[in-house]
Amino acid sequence: MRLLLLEDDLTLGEALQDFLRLDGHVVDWCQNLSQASMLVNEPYDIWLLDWNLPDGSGVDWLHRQRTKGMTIPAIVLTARDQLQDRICGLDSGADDFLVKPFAPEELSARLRAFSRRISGSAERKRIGQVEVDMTAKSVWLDGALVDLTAREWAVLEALVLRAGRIVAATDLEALVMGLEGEIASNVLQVHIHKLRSKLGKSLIETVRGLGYRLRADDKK
Amino acid sequence: MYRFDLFSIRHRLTASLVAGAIGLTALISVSVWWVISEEIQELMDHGLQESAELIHNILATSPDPIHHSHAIRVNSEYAEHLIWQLVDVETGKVVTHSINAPETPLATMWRPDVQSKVNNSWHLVTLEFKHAKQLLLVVAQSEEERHEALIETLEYTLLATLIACIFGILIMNWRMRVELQPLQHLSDGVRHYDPLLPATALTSTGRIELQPIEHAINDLGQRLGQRIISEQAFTAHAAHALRTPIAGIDAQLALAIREAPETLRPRLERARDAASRLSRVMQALLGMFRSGLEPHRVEMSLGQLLEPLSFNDLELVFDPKASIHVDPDLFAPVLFNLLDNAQRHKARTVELIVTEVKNLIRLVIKDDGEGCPVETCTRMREALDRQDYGPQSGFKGLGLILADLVMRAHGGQLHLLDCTRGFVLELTWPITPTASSS
Repeated sequence: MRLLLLEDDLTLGEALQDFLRLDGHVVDWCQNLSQASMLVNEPYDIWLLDWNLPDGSGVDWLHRQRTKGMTIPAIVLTARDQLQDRICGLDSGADDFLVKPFAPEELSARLRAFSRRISGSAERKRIGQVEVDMTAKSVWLDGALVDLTAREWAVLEALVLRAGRIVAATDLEALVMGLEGEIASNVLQVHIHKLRSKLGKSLIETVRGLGYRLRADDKK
Repeated sequence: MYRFDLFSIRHRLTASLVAGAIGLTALISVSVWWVISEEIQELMDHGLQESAELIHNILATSPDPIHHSHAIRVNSEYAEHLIWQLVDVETGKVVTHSINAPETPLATMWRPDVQSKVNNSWHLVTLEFKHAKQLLLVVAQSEEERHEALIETLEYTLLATLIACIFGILIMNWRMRVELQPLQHLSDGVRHYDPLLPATALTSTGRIELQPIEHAINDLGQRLGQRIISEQAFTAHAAHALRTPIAGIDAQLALAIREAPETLRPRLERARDAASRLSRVMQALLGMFRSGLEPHRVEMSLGQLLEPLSFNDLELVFDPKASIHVDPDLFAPVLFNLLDNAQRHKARTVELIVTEVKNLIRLVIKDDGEGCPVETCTRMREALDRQDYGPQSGFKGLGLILADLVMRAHGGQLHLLDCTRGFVLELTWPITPTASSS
């Protein structure tokens, strides 16, 4: 999944970014609201927001985004543990609340839960001959385990999470690569090509001029 | 907790008032009766003398008193209150007398004052005649008649005093209730006063005597409220200042464990365990300051409380379904610290036994560790009684102090029990909050 992490603490932010990347997520880390506001229209799967930030409140910022119609799921990471804080955070548009200090493994588990929710609740999804385990990050073709690189998995996960819908190539590039520098223009096509060669040509459909789409005939 | 064996000011005042009224009634009655009886005796003596003189004057103006006295006697057919005799002093016989007068003379010689005669059953007055020296007029009143008059007077006096006293008691009781109402109002106000809710501050009772108490309580409450607000603000800042770096440390260590070579992982895991313990202690301290240790009780199972607390090399024996009513945010750090203590004192097994008696929950925590010396245990018991956590108390860690504070906040107690092996402590607290704990 592509995640926006909004955390001003360098130690925590850096560790979470790296930890979640090891889980196969694409993580963009911002340390203040002005940076986050510039990325608000990027196609993130989940926002991870700190409450207290140097230039304002993460929860207030989330509330403003919700009033503008943004529906990206948000998990608030905060040091505030009082009931009224949790109520305030959830009323402002947060979908989940994690009180610091928390184990990064718990955050990973919650992200997996969100992933299941986004992709339609089932941990394992079957698309034709292909079976995808979103939790174990594993793929089988005709029952045989297929080995994917982290980037290939990220492309596949992004398409599975939006199965049946067209994902713009630019969004998919941003989703997969994050904001880490410039990338070669054909990197996405290379990953798509590799996925097709490993999982079958018909799995990912190219919609000319628009992007890519995962075949929608999935079953649990 | 309320004690119901204490005296009530109103009841004591009422009892004193009733006892005082009864005593006063008796005193007034005796005094009044004594005064009235003296006056009535005097009045009746005067009446006797006046009557005797009247009869004497009537008879003295007659040329033949004996004949005239017979005429008087004919009309005396009613129940006489006074009787009279005409006595011949020379013969010692009664010449004539009123209807109810005795035939024998009550006196045979003149005396100037009122006298009692014949076994003290008559009060009599004697008068002589100037022109008939042998005749003596005796006018008398029976003692029975005088006694009856006195008794009637006493009865009416007692009745009047009793009515006055009962009426007085009712009036005084009503006044007492009215005057004690401000005290009751003050008492209710103090009971419902929450320093964090300014609207519950004490209002004036309108009594000058209670004004210093009202001011003192309001002042104390304001300072306490301010202190709690400051502590809560401090806790919020401290929470942010402490929780985020600790989360950072934990996340860095979690990452390092994943990235580190196999040989380094045990060391990093130990560091993470230590950071986790630090985090628990910090959360326990923040929890204590959170809201002045005001518990928010919920019913939950022991299993739910112990599930998140994982200890390597420590076996926990307990009934996971045992139900307890506690504030989990306050109680979980207590359990963690107590179990952590047990582990640090080389315990391998800790048994947790929950029993429920009436409104009390009893949790016994028993470990098989090295325990603590008897003298230290004794010192700690005494310190717990005094709630003294100072350097002489024997407490070395946070666990027991935190457990004691949290138990007190729940209206309960912490006891260190005698044991031959390991360490045993008992936590008891009421299921429903008591007045003192809330």
